[in-house]
Amino acid sequence: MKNIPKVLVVDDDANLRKTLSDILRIKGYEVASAGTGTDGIAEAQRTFFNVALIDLKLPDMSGLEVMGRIKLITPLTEAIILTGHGALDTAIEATNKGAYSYLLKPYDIDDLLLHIRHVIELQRSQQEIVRLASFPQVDPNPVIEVDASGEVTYRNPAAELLFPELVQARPGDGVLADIRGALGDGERKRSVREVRVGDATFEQFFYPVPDSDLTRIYMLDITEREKHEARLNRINLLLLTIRKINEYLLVADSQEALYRFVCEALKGLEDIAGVVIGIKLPDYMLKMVAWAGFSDAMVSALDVRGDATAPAGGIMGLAAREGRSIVIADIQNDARFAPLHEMAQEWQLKSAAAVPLVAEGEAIGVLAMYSTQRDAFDQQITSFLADAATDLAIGVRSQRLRSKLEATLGSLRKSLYGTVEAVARMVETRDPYTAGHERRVAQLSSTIGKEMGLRERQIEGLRVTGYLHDIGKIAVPAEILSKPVKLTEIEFAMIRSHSKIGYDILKDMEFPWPVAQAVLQHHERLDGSGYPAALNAGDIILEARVLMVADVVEAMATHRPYRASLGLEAAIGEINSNRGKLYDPDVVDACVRLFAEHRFAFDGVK
Amino acid sequence: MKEKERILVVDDDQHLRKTLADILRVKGYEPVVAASGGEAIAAAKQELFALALIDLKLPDVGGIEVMARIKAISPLTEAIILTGHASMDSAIEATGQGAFSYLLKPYQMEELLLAIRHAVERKQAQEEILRLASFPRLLPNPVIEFDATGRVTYLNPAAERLFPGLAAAGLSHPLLQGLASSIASLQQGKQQGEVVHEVPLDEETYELHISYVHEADLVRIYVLVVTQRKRAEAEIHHLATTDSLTGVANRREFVRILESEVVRAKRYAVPLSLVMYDVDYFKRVNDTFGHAVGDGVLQAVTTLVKDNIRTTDVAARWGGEEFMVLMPQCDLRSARDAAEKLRLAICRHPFETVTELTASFGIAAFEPGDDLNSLLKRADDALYLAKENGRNRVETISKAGPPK
Repeated sequence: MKNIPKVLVVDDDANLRKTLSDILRIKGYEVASAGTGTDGIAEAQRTFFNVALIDLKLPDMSGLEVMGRIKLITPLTEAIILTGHGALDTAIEATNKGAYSYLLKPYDIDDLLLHIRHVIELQRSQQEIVRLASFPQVDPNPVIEVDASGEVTYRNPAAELLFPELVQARPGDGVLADIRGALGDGERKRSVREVRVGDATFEQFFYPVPDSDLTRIYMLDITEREKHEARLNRINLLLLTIRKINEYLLVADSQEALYRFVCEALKGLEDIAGVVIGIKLPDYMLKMVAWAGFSDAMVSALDVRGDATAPAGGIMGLAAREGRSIVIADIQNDARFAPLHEMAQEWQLKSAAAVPLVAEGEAIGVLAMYSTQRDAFDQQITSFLADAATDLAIGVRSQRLRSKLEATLGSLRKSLYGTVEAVARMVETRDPYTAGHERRVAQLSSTIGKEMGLRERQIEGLRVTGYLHDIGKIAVPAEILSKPVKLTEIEFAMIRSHSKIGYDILKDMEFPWPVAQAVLQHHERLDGSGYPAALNAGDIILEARVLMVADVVEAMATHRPYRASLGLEAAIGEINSNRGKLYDPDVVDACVRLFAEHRFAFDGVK
Repeated sequence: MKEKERILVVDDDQHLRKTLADILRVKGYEPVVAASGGEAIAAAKQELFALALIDLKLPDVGGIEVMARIKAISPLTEAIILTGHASMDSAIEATGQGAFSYLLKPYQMEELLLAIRHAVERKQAQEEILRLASFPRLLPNPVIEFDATGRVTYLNPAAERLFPGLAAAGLSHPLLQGLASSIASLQQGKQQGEVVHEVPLDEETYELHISYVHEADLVRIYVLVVTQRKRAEAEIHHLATTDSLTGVANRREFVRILESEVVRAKRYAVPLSLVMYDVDYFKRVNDTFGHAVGDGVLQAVTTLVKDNIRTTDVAARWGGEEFMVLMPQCDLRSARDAAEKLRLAICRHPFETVTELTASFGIAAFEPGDDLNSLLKRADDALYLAKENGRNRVETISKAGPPK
């Protein structure tokens, strides 16, 4: 309304029309004029006038009629009636019919200008009132005004929509609960509070309305904010718990301990009544393997089948069957789980989530959580739980695999050793006087390997090689082997052939270790004085270097039928004096340390 | 329900006072009379009047002076000056000083009553304006108002406080940028009701409820500060997508990214490599030094990895001590080089407490016919191979198997 106000002059006196129009223009108005009522009405149809100055007596119709017609076209146009003294009663009547005012001719021009000004002011005020009134009208948030007695004097549309019943402040629940303190009596101050209305939370700002006993309440729906914050807290706690579970996955000793830990940890979360883990059995029963928060009786009541033949298998059965997360927002009113209603009521269970334990695409079981609150498991929280369940399933699977793998490896190892030992015993039977030699060499060489810091696998290889190193003696006649007197040159040559024969026997067998090579080289010496190939140091493999020392020490330290034991001291003396010459110094040092520090003794030998 | 408006009649003519008071009472007003300026001013101090009818000539103080004193006490009180012809100039002057109007004696009673009605109406309108103006003024949230040309016509105090430059900047203010078209379509009636926009600005997030106020031909924006809610939302998203210990993407988020990258690799035949790595003997670290040290190791390792990959690569924790790096636009050979760099960075890094630590890497590159699972499986197999072959090494497996 900052526009220039428009005035319409309707008078049949051309002079008067002209004079009036000129004056009004000078005063800053936009002016149109008409000599008849018909023309005046036509003008009003063209454009909106703030004020119509209408002569009561017009040639074609009365001023009152003109006013009525114009107001039909533009209701906000105000009329000022101009008339001679004779028609005063009609003029007064006009004000009752909606004219703003009248002036008697001859009027004072200042009077007329004052009246026009009042009209424009009135219209501007009205427009301002409309504008201002729209503030609470359009406000998307509720605005309420109450008087000192707590009676509601105003509600904006948002408040009407949200609180249709609101009439008066009542103590107790609701929008205006306990607001006496904020109203009337004494100092009224601005204040803020939070109030719950149904499921929503509002922030209420109280303001005393100036120059009145009214209190205005602006309300802000902060339900979403509160919800998000509460949710954030819940998720934070949940994630912390999941992290604890993941840590435990790395150190768990058994599946049972793992399940128990998970149940206890999740039970610690807010509003959780109970946690259960069920594992699928081959017959599709879910076996409840761990739980927290529920008694044994409660858990056995939950026992369900996980297959399609049991449609009422409850939330855990459903999750197991479909291999996906199942959430019940409101157990006690969910028709799908009608059989659970009674139980849920008795145990105060309001909502639940069941997530499958999925490993490699297969659900091996179900983790279920029950809350004392409705709608405790939203999509986000459920997906976190599903993640935790997956972690758990993978952890369980890897634990199963680990123990299975260990069992397989163990049995493989056992069968390999069984074979090796059997072969070794076979050789021994041909030379009863060295009984146990192979076993003891295996023991010593593997211990030396360990002392030298070799890897587990190499140490295993040393043990196996120890058992088999004399396998070639199988080709040497038994009477030569057990002959307690000095051997002839030929007999010696036959005995010396045992390492090559052993190599020939072993070379085509698949070992993960260089067994055949070690056997072939175990009588070689670093200085090239050994047999069969008189290899030099650089060509002798590590396994053979260990084996030759163990072989010599065992042979010298233990009793032989054809000679008394030379003794441990002599054995140690032998390898020490030939350290670096015949024998690998690292191997010698390791062996000497073992005996010097009494960390080694042959099994079954005093 | 509405209280009667009080009118103060100030005249030294007792008869006239009484007549006027009687008529006003009949017309539904509540008159109070005063015989002098002094009495009138004293009455105005006692109670609030909608209107004072003041005789220009009073025995003690001039009528205009009385009007001025009353208006000083209660600015909303209107005044009508009554006077004889002789003082008409003074009467006209009075309207310039705030009088609603004047009437010459002897006046028509109808004329006076009409003037009184208009004056009381004006006062009531002023009151209503004051009352209504307090709605936006007291509103704790910002309100902004525009006319059709985009000029700011009103800012409530909350808006002035939060957006000090808005009055001058108008629609070019950062808060309102990009809203011009929705404001225009509201104004042209193309869109009904309320339009809601979310605008992040500085550290805050605002929700703008924009509506066209037809009665006033104005566009009004109610602003809600939703920063807290947005922060909580963002925080939840962060928690949902990152690993809380190491800050890299979690498994779910990584799978989501991997899925879309596999689709891209399929569609556009661009190279894509997946590196899976695992801290060697990590269980031993945990068993020997405890979880705190173990956690520190995982954090240090992911930091090293993040520092040594491209910004387009995606680092993630797969679970436990297993991690992933997705390398888009990277073939097997480049991925191998990149992983080798990571392996060296880790085995050369002086870790706290543990001092020395190594990691094993398995790599697979996307090949035709691959899907998410086959790619993951190959990377997993490659990692297993790296472990088998003595750890602290990088192994690759292509569909044809490990390189000979």
